[in-house]
Amino acid sequence: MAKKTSNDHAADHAASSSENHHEGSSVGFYIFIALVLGAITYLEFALVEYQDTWFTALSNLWILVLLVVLSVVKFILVVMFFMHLKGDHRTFAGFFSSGMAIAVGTLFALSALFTVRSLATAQTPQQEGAGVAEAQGQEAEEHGAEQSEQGTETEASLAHRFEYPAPKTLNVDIIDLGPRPQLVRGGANSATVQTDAGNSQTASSRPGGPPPITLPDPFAQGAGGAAGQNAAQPAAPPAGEAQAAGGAAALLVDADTSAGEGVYNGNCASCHQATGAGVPGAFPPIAGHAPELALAEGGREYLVNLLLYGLQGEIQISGQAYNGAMPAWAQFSDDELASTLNYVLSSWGNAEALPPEYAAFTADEVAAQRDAALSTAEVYELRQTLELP
Amino acid sequence: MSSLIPGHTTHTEHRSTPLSDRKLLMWIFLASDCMFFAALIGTYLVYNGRSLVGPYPTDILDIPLTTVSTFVLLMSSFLMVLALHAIRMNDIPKFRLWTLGVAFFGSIFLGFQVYEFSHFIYEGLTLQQNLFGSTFFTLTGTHGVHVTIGVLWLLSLLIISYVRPMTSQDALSVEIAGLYWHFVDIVWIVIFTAVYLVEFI
Ligand code: HEC
Repeated sequence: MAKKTSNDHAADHAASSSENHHEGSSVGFYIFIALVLGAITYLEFALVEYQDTWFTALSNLWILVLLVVLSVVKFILVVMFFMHLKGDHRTFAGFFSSGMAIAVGTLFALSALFTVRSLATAQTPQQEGAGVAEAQGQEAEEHGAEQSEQGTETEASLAHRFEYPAPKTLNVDIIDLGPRPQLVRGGANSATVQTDAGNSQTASSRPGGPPPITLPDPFAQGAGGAAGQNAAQPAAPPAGEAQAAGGAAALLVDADTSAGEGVYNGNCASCHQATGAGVPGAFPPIAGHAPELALAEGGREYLVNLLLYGLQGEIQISGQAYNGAMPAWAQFSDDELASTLNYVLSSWGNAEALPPEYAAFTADEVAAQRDAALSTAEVYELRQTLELP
Repeated sequence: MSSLIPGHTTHTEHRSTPLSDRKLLMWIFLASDCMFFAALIGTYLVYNGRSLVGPYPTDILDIPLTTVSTFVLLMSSFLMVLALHAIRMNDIPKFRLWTLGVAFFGSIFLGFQVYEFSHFIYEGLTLQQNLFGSTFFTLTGTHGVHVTIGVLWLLSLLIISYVRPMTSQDALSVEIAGLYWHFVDIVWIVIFTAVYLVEFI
């Protein structure tokens, strides 16, 4: 064995290799694995491509679970049998699986980071409503103090953390806004806007100091909900529509808008402002404008479609032109979107512009538009055909 | 004979475990590459659905086309094990055939990607267009670079087999290149599901 040819080396290597299959049958085994991999790939393709014809029995969640499981199976097959990790030295497996563990941890951490933050901004649950309002009040006070004596603040900045817009709004600057609006954080309802041009409208620039802050009271609308009002409901056209969709229609004035308030402040306020006033030329006002839409013919459906699918195209609102992109919000649940619309329509004086019998938006109404799957351009067309104000 | 340990660099030195340094190095690299891709995939997923302007994923991703390219990459992995098997059996002609096959299939995959990218750019999706564009091109582009490196690596092994006789050391080199190639394949398995399929549920 002193002198070996190179070929012997290779042959010896084969003999001493850690492969745990007989050399003859291993090719057959590889072919088998390759066939399984191919079949799984086709199955994955079919699950998605023929979801509506072959796999109607499976809900979307099940399809998702199946896809994840199938790709994990493929992953494991390749690692175990093509990369021979099964049967190879355990040190390799140790290193690789630690790497994988950190990788999977990274994935979870990243998604947790983002979803938890969005949830923190989007959720204002009923039970904690008072607590949150309290925190906001505190924040507003602290803010006032901070402005007058420039004191240090700790709680206020903590509260701010939860007031930041969701990540969705971070790429706002893709849209060309001309002078870029800057959000100056005020209290819960007093976020104000400065443009680069310098026409400052901030609270602090007013001589009287910070403006009085009126806190939205999530229970205020619910309080007036007398049963008599419900009975006296005279199915006005919009109300009737909702009744058809949602059975016993609730009135807008009775609607619980706490969830919608959370969605609005966490997602919409960065553009349309916490006061609903918008930014002239960039983001249309919702205060005063939303009731116009809500009362127009086809307006209710349009509002739902607007939130589900977004809007892009030039529009005129009270003589002011807007040509921006309003993002789609289909990722929120039917309940949340209905509640958002109810919040918008009952805030900032909008409720007064609507008849008292105006029906609240229901989850069913939102659900009914989900199948439409419109594009932003189609929402724009819809708006043009309805000739909305 | 017993001292002839796979991957052993010198025959004089004794080791308690038959561990090849180079192979270990490869596995450690792959472990780190896992984390690298996890960060890219995570970023893609986190920003998914947050683009303000189109084109959106469902507008332009092409499932049938990508299924075919996924299949091509999987089959290249299969040819890779055959190539490794051939060189272990000291069957050089077959080794050359399969290695060429792997490089060829890898190039087909790259061809699909080049087509896909240029099609997307034509449709208006660029790196700067929206979050989808930035994260998608970064992720799949990085993967494409991995594939390209793999193809070049395998071709270099193929050339070596013509230049000088292959030794057991070369079998180890093929095995390590194979590990890299399979890894590139499993990353694509994950991307195919996370980026392409899930979008269309
Ligand atoms: C990225 C900034 C942005 C965010 C966030 C945003 N919008 Fe808009 N919104 C716009 C723009 C821009 C328009 C005008 C679109 C156009 O010019 O076609 C608009 C228009 C509207 C309109 C008026 C539509 C019409 O036809 O008159 C309403 C109502 C509205 N948005 C509600 C909301 C609600 C509710 C949310 C939160 C769920 C929200 N927006 C979040 C930018 C935004």
